[in-house]
Amino acid sequence: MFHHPRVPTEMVANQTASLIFLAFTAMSFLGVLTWATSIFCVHRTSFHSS
Amino acid sequence: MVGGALCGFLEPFGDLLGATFYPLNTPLLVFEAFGRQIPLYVFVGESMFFASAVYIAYRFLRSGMPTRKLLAIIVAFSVFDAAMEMTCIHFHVMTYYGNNPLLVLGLPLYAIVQNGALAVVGGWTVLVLEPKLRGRRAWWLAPVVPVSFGLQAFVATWPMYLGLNSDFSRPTMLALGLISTALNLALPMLCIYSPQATAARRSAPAQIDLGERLPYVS
Repeated sequence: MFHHPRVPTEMVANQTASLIFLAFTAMSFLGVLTWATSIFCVHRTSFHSS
Repeated sequence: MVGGALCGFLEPFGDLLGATFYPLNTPLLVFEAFGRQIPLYVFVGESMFFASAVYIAYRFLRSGMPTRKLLAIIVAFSVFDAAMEMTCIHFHVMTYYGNNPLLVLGLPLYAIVQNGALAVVGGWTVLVLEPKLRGRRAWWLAPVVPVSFGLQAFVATWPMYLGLNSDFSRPTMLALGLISTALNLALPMLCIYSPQATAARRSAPAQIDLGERLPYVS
């Protein structure tokens, strides 16, 4: 009854598209990291000043 | 963001059960389990996606936002994830394979719903556990994110995982896919109407400042 479908191991990745997607995720990651860091810094500042 | 990156380690399980494949010539394959190679962009992308989705949903839940705004989060992150994954599938960066009758531009319908719903399910999990994990113990919220997502996928997408790894007919697969889609819609609704989220809606003003100081940051 149980069987896994055939894995398309012959599939070839579009290397350029893969690198563009990696660059997109890296830029988005840096954006979110900047946002998270700014929130954390604001919190620390308001916490220590209060 | 740490919790999101940890979700990358769940990817081989999900790929095996959900019949997802990253080609072996993908640049920067950084993790392997169960014969599945996971590229770096999965860890980077999931860190970014889970961090923003779960945090925003958590803040909306805690701020007592109305149901329609919480549903808007699910739709927004579903659309964002679908746009990313459909583009990747179109340009042969990854693929969903097997006898799957619910593919929309290569992406399964239940996956579209699941990846938006994870925001509210993860946000609700943080809402429930955050009062117990304050100060230094707040770091335990990081592994909570992958555990929450893993349980969501296990519970809601399990019917389709079962179908994809079985010899079922196409109509049965269609039914299982629709059940998984419905379960992935029902789970965040349970979170939205949970006693914890309802209490937050009753007690908090429906305003949100995403930069407001969190109670557990010290």
